[in-house]
Amino acid sequence: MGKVLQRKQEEKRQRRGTVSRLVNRYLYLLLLLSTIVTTVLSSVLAFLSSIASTDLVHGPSPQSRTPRLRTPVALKLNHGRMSLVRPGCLPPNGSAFRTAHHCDIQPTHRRTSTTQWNANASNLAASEILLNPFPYYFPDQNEPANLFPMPQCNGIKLEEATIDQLQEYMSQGKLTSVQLVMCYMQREFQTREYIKYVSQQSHPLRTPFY
Amino acid sequence: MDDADLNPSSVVQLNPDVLNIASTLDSERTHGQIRSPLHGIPFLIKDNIASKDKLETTAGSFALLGSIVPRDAFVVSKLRQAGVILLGKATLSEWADMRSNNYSEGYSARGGQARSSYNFTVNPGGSSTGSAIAVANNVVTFALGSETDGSVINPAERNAIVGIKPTVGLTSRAGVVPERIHQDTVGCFGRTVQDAVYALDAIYGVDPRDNYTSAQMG
Repeated sequence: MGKVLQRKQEEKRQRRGTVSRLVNRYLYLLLLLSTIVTTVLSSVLAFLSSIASTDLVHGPSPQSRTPRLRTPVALKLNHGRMSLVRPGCLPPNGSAFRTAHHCDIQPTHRRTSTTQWNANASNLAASEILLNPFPYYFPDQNEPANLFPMPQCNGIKLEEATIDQLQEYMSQGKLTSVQLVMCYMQREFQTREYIKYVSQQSHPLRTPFY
Repeated sequence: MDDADLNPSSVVQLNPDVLNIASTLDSERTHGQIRSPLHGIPFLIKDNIASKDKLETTAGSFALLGSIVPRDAFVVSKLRQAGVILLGKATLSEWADMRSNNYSEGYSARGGQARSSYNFTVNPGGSSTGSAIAVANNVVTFALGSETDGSVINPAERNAIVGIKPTVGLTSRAGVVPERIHQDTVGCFGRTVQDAVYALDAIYGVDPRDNYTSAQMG
């Protein structure tokens, strides 16, 4: 019994050995074959596609001259621009940005390659300017006489307002002292780094109003 | 922008009171109580005028940072009674120009270099520089400064606003970092004469802590 068992085990071992040997021998051949096949196939495909594109470019039919195959990148760029900035929302000289609700920046879900972004740099810069809910705000160098335009306060022009005018607004209920304080503080935030007149301010960040 | 932020170009210390004061004054107004023509108007004071609240009184110098004043300056308490909102302290030439005979007007260690909004590169006037610039730049409608020798009228002139330097004894100097007892006054700035006069009306008066003001009684 012991001898029979031993023989069977030896046979098993031999079988395993032959399988592994076969795999080792033909795997190399298999790999070689598959490489050759893919190379040949790809070259054939490339040749075929080049024939097709030349036909479209130089073909006699005007329909085949559509830029679909000639300028796929430009088409993508154009598409990307349309989705980022709506038409009519780009400022003419790139400086005077105004608030416009129809100019909201649309979210884009498409990923575009780096080269495409670079080619589209100017549009990308425009797309990164947030106009809503707060308008872009920075001293406008093109208007040196009005570098720091003062925003209205609750619809009321505070610029050059006198005490009597403010009292009138407040007695009419158009303005409260709290709004007045907030607007004047915003004015201070707006101009602080340029003229530095407030060394210390009653700061509201710890009050329940915020 | 917190208590620890001592950068001269930014807010130095927080004081949460300004909107509470404003809302209190608003509710007074809705109940028909209007204290004065200045009720509910924000204003600034020069940093050498004491205020007994969470604001420092340092005359622009780090040497006085953390000093505790005994009470509001007379002019400030008068304005508080008139229902005015103290928005903060304005920068000044450090120590109201006592720092040096020759240095940049409008500079203080705590406040940094204040600049004229008409031209960032010229002398903005001083020593009540921040008060004048803030009024000129529509940050407040009026502000208080102090003058020993030109410290109100000089920045007012250079920032194209109205500045009033009262006769010595008309406004109390109690609670103001002193310079010269015969010359010191507390003055005011406005964009119109009317605004500046409103402020002067609110701050003048007899103060037992400044015997020069007793001359008002005649």
